[in-house]
Parts: sequence; C-alpha cells; structure tokens
Amino acid sequence: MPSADTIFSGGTLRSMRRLGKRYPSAVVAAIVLFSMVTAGAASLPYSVRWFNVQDLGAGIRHAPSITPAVPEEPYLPDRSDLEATELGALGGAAYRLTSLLGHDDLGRSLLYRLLPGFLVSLGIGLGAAVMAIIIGVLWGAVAGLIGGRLDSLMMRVVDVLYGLPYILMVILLKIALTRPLTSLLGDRTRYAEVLILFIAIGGVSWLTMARVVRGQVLALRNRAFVEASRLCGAGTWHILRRHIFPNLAGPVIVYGLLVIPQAILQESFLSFLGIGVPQPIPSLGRLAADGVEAVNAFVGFWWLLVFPCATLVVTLLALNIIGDALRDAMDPKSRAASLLA
Amino acid sequence: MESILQIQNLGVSFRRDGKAMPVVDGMSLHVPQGATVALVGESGCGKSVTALSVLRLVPRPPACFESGRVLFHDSPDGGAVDLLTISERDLRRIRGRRIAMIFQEPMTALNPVMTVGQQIVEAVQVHRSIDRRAARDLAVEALRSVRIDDPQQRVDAYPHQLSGGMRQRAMIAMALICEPALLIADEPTTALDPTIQLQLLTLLKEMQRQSGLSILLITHDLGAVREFADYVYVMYAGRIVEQAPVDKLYANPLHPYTQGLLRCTPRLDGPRDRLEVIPGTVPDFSQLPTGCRFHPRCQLTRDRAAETPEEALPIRIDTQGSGRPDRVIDENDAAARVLRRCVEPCVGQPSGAPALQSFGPDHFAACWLVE
Amino acid sequence: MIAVILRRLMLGVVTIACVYTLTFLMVITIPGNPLRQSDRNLPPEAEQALRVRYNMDNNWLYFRQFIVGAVHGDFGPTFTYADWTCSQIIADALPVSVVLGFLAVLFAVVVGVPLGVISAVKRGGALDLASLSLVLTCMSLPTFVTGSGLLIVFGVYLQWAPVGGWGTVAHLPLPALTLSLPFIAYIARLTRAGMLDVLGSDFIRTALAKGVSRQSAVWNHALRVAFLPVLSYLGPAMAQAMTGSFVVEKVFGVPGLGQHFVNAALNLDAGLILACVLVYSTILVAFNLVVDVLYGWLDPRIAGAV
Repeated sequence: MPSADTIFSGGTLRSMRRLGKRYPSAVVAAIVLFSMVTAGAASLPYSVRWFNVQDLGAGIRHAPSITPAVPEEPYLPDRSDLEATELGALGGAAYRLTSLLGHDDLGRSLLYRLLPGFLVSLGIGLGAAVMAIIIGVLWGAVAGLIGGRLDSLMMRVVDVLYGLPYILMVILLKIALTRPLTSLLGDRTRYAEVLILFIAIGGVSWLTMARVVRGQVLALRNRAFVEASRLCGAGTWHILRRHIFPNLAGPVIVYGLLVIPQAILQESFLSFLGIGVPQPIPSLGRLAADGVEAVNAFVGFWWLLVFPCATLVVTLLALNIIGDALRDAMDPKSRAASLLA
Repeated sequence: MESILQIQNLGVSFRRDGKAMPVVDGMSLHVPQGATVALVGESGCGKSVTALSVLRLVPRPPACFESGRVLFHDSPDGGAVDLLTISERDLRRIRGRRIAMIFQEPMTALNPVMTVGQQIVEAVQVHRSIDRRAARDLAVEALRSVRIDDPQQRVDAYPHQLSGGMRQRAMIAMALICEPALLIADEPTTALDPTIQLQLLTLLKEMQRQSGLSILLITHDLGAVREFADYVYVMYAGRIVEQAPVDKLYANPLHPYTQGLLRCTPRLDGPRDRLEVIPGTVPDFSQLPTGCRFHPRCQLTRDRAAETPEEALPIRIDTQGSGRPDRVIDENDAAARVLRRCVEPCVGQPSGAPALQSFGPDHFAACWLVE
Repeated sequence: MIAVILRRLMLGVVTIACVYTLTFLMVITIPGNPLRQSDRNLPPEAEQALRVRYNMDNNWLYFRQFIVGAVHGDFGPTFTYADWTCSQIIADALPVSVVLGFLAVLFAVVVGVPLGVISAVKRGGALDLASLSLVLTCMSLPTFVTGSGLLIVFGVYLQWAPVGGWGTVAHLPLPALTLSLPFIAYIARLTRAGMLDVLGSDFIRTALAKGVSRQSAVWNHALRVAFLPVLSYLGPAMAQAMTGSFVVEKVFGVPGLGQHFVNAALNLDAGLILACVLVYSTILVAFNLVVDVLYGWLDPRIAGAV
C-alpha cells in the first residue's frame, strides 16, 4: 500500500480537485450525501416535533399525498400548551409536508421519521467507525511497532476473533453492555441503547483496521526514510509523530470510511431482528425493517418499504462509492499499464 | 544478404498526462538472415521498447506507434508483412512460431504456477495440434537440447524450483521449440552471473549454427556484443547514433557516445587504469535537450567549444527547436557564457538532432562534429 | 503434505478451543438467566433442579462437561425449545444451511469471478463501470430488502417460485440468490484487485509472445494466479454463508441454522450459543483446511514453504 502522500500531496484542495476529476461518481455521491445531511439537520426542529406524533384515526397507513392527512393540532399529551403553540408557529410550513411520504401503521409521518432516521443511522455509522479506528489503530500500531512475540500473540487474537460468528458477537456484546450502561445513565435508557449499539458494532469492526494498520506500520518501519531518521538519532516518539502517523492517515481514513456503511447495514440487520435502536427512535434500518413487515402483510403499503429502502440504499451506495474511490486512488496498481486492456 | 527483419523509421511515444514522450524516434534497423544483430545502449534509452514493438508487445495505452513500419520477410518469394498493421490474428500466428522472444528476468517472465513443461507444451499447442504425450516428449527434448540435466524430472518442475540460469535455459527452450526464423533476446543475460552469461550466449550461438536462426540481441553488455554479434546498432535517447559491423565499430568508434561506452567497458587486455564513465544520465524523455540529444554529456562538444574563439559563437540560440533563435545570451552571465561556448556545434543547430551519415561502407554515425 | 495437514488440523483445534473458551466467558458474564424466560413459568424448585442437573452453578464443571459431550456429538439441552436437545436442533438445521450456503457461495464464485476479471481487463471502461456499480449495489442492499424484493417479484407477482418454505428444488433459487449477493460483491472485488496485480506481470507478456490469445492469457495465465486470494476467502465465506443466513431464513421461511444463532443469543440460551459457536468454528476450520490443501495444490510456491 502506498503512503498517504501519494494522494494528499500538493495541498488538500488541489488533490481533492484531482480526485474529483478522476472519480466524478464520488463527487456526485458526496454531493448527494451532503444534501441529505443538510436536509436532515435543517428539518431537525420539525422532525423532533413530528417523528413520534401518532394519529390513530385518519393517519394510519395513509398513502403519500401533498395535503396533510392529520389535523393540525394533534393530540400532544406530554407538552404544555405554551410549548405546543410555539412549535405550531414554527412548523406551519413543515406541517404541510407531513403526508408527503405517507404514514406508518401508527399514523406517524414517514417523512419526519425518515429525516432524523438518516441522521441516527449515519451517527451510528460514524460512532462505530470512530470505535473501530481507535481500537484498530491502537492494536495494529502496538503490534506492528513492538513486534516479536507480542505481535504474533496480538495477531493470533485477531485471527481467533475473526473465527467468531460476527452477528452473534454483536448481539452478545449488546446484551452484555446493556446493564452496566443503563445503570450508569439512569433513565435515559433509550439514548444509552443507541450508544451501546455503536459500541457493539464498532467493537467487532476493528479487526480489519488492526490488520491494515499493522501491515502499514511494518512496511513503514523498514522504509528508507525511517531508517535515515533513526540514523540521525531521532527518538521513537519523533519517528512515530513525523513518519509513521502521517503515513497511516490515508489507509485509516479509507478503511474507517468503509466501516460506516457496514455499521449502518449491521444496525439494519439488528433492527430487522427487533434489537436495533429502541422504539420510537427511527433509524433507516428500523424503518426499512418495519416496511418489510408491513409489505409482507399487505403489498399495498408500498411507500413504507420503498422510501426507507431507497434512502438506505442511496446512503450506503454513496458511502461505498466515496470509500471505493479513495481506496482506488491510493492503489497505484489500479492504474498500471496492461497489455490486455 | 537478405534481410529477415526491417524496422523502418519507427516512432513510439508514451503519453502521460496529455504529453507525448518520443521514446523511440525515427529508428531504422535491419536484421540479415542468419545473422546476430546487437542493439546496445544504456538502460532507459528505448531499446527494449523497440524490441517489444516488433511483436506489438508494448502496452497501448500509454504507448502509441507514431510512425514507421516493421517489415518481416518470411516467405521464400521475398514478400513482407508489416507487423505494426497486420491483424491481431495474423500477428498471433507469427508470435512464437516465426518470431520468438526471450526476456530479461526469467523469474518473473515465467508463470509461477505452471510447470516449465506445461509452459513449453503450451508454446507448441497454440500453433499446432499435437497430443499430450508427444508434446511432453517434445518438451523433454527441448530441455535436453538446452543442456538441462535430467530433463525428464525438470519438465515437471515449477520455475521457483530452478536456478536463474536454468530458468533462462528453459525460456530459450520454450522460445525455440517452434523453430522460429528470428529470435529477439531482450537482455537475456543481464540478471545472471557472468559465467552463466557466457554459457547461455554460447548456447544461443550453437542453436543459431544448427538452425540458421537470426538473432536480435538487446543488451548493454559490450563484451558480449563483441563476442557474439555480427552487426551493432548503438542507441541513445530513442535514436540510433551509430551502426557498424562489429569489428569496425570496435576498431574505429565514431560517435562520442560509442567511444564513451567502449571506454567504460573493462577489458582484460587493456590498460589497468580507472574505468572512465560518461558523465550524467540518459535524459528524461519529457525534457529532451534541443539539437543533438547527447550534447549535454558529450566530451567532443565540450572540447570543440573550448577550442572555438568566443567571438565566433552565436549570440542568439534556438532553445525551442523552432528553427528561429529565441534567446539572447547575456554576456555578463557566467553560466550563460559557458552555455554559449558549448552550444554552437550541437545545440544551436536549427535542424535538431543529427541524422545518420555514412562514414565508409556499412558504417554510419549521427553526430554534427564527426568528420 | 500429510504432516502439513496434520499441523493445520492441530492449529484448527486450538482455534476452536480458544473460540469456545472466549464465548463461554462471554456467556457466563452476561447477566440474565434463560430459565427465567417470560414464556416458561417454572416453579423455583424445578428451576433449582434444572440448574443442578446441568451444572449451572458450577461454571468450570459446565465448561468441562459441555466440551466432553460436544466431542461425543452431544451438545446438551437447550433452554428455549422444550422438547429438543441442541444436537437434534443442529442435526435438523445444519443440512439445510449447508445446502443453501454451498449453493450461495458456488453462485457467488460463478458470477463474481468473471465479473472481477472483466472489470480488471476493461479497467476504466464502460464494462468496468457497470460491474463496479453492480458490486457496489450488491454491497449496499440489506439482505432483507433484496430478499423481500425478490419474493414479491418472483413469488407473489410472477409466481415463478414458492413464496417460502423448504423441501423442493423450487425452494432453492431465491434464498440462494439473496444470500449470494454480498458474496458476489466481495469476490468480484477480490478478483479485480488480484487481476490488476497480475495483468502487468512479465509472464503475461511471455505468454502473448508465444502466440497465446488474449482470452487465454487472461483466463488461463492471469486468473490462475489472481484466483488465489479468492480461494483463501472461500473458507470464511462458506462458514459465513452456512451459518449467517438468518435474515434469508426469516424472509423465506427456511428452517436453517442461522435463526438458531440469533435466537440462542437473544434468549441467552447458553447451551445453544455454545453449540452454535462450536459448529460455526468447526465449519470454519474445516473449510479453511480444505482451502489450504487446494491452495497448496494450485500455488506450488506455497506447497514447499508451509
């Protein structure tokens, strides 16, 4: 694997422009992702108001329409009148969009579940990626730098963990973590569970990262410029800071980026099994899984399946395209000349 | 003597980032029937690209054939085909069967996961149908003919199980199994140690005597050339700078580059002084010098410039090769004065690189200064 | 060769032991008790009797007894299914999962390898782009979405295949296809990377210089080398496909092993968790061994070195 300076040389902006020229699909993906994040963030005040508003009358499984299906002042048992009026004033325009993507089986607006659901999924993905990067980089760097017995022991551990069934481990980790964390966070259990979710997913996603980092460290350790620096009398910390870490950045970013879609996919599987994010917090996986169930019961509720799945697929596709382009850019052999082309 | 291969005015360029680099430029070469012709030059001067171009084995892109023909005279009536333009199908019938090739690094040039025997048999089977048993016998025979001991066993060996010299022998066996008319040997002995080099070249010579094979030998080993070649082409930065029969070239090298090359070849019978070197390196093809491509490293240019009185040198020079002088030399700039003294004979020539001129029968050199 | 296989086998047994111990440690540290599941209202005496019977108060004894039993093919009782033992469950579900997983991986190889080869040879071209899009789409679709989609299209609308269940050949294609999509993506990508590594090699040039056709140079010479990373992925892939098919099983109503993995974990059914993990790691080790042997056969450079 080449060092990061092959793609990040000549100023970040310039190298990004160069990358964009070579991978136009990645640019499109980044734009799509960015606008989805913007839409999700911008609509957050409204979706916080609407995502769990149930209308058990006209709203149940109401098909998509441009006119709202539910009355403007829905039943809000846990809000004071003052708060309700404030929110109502804020969301006049937002209210008109509530039925745009239809309603689910509890009469909740799909649009205002989808928008924050996207952010929740992305958050879980990012959290898992951060977890994977922290554990993976530490593990891989220590193994690669210290080497010898410890290295082979640590890599043997990684091998054994690879030998464990992945999804089983996520479930067990999640169950194991639930009690201590809920006791720590008290009544905010819901949010604790989201936290647990990405710790569990991140906790099993670091293996590849550890291998990549170790390989990179081993390769760098024997490179001429590190040898030269050592000959000049540079200390270990200096070598780490000046030579090893900057050159790790590229692969770590790329593999970290690729953890995000995997984590989102994992979460959607867990949601499908009913142990993903807790109700009523929406996530793309939960919404898609609910959609699958609704459609299995009666094919007519297509919007409950189509919109969440489309959002999920577009998100994952965008993330994968960006990660793939970056990985390709770091790989010199992807541009080597060939007689057979 | 009849030619078997004629390269006429071949131009090959490599395109990178929209720029074309002329790696081979106006190159012409003849290989007479049954002769050994050597193409010598430093690494990176374009000789391998020339060799690979004959069988269209340069990757395109980035390479691109800009001009020229590669005529292969194979039929008894003297008819020729242009290897650069014939169909892929016809070319495949020539590759391996009429023109065979051996490469520099026998470790990477052989498929690591196929036995030597399988690879030799394949060379036969792509050109004629032959049953397994017979093909295997043929492979064993081929290995024996290149003096590999115990060919019955070695035919089932994988490349990594053989020594470097043995691998190259297997390569030769594979190349010659279809009895080609021409063998292109691209630095066949560079990666091997000297005793093996000699053995292999002797072997090639012997095979040539037996079958009337013509050989195009690409090398930078001038000792080997003197020993084995009949005719020599010297290449520098994509162009032929001198060509001559081997004895004439060694007796009377004309081009300063050839002279330099010969001076830096160690000889047992020569004076035991320090070896001379040619200063500098082969130029980058994206920034070729104007005029003669060799002038920045040329001793003759320097000597000549030193002899010339300063006022006889031009004030303006043509740095773009456009035919019109575009740069005025500043008399007060010391570096520019040096440049000016060196420029006149070679750099300032508006016609660019010198063409080959005849200096006696069969002896050509491309230099502005040689008389 | 036999010595190599034996050593690999030893290493495999060590790995299984490690995995077993690790899982055991996780299971006993996890809070919760399968005997107190909501749907089984056991009287306290009965619960105590069961605990004693299955050595649940003595972890070390349980650890030992379980592995001794497992070696003899007896995985002990399960706490979630009243009338079944773990061995019966596995004997029932494993063949289903093996058939399904094997078909899925086979299909993935048949589709993924050519996809990767074409994509590498036509690098940067329209075909590469098309195949890359296909690969990325396969990677980005959750199995339950593709499964449901295929079920609705081919099962409900077109009625080409049964909507679910197991037992006839007609039940096979849809779940196998669904299960194979992520594997197709991964194999295509591995093949592409391997081919790009190989296509610029000198030995490809040698083959062409012999007069070998491009097709033969790609499929015979290059793929022989580029297939090796795919081959070493097939071990883990087989194990995953044969045990990780719970979503597919749920969508298509296939009585396979995957659902037991998930249910055992969700129910904290220690016996079934351990049984499943043992089965999984045994499959993994077995297929890795097979792959190693095949690898040594296909790559002579390794055969001498192992």
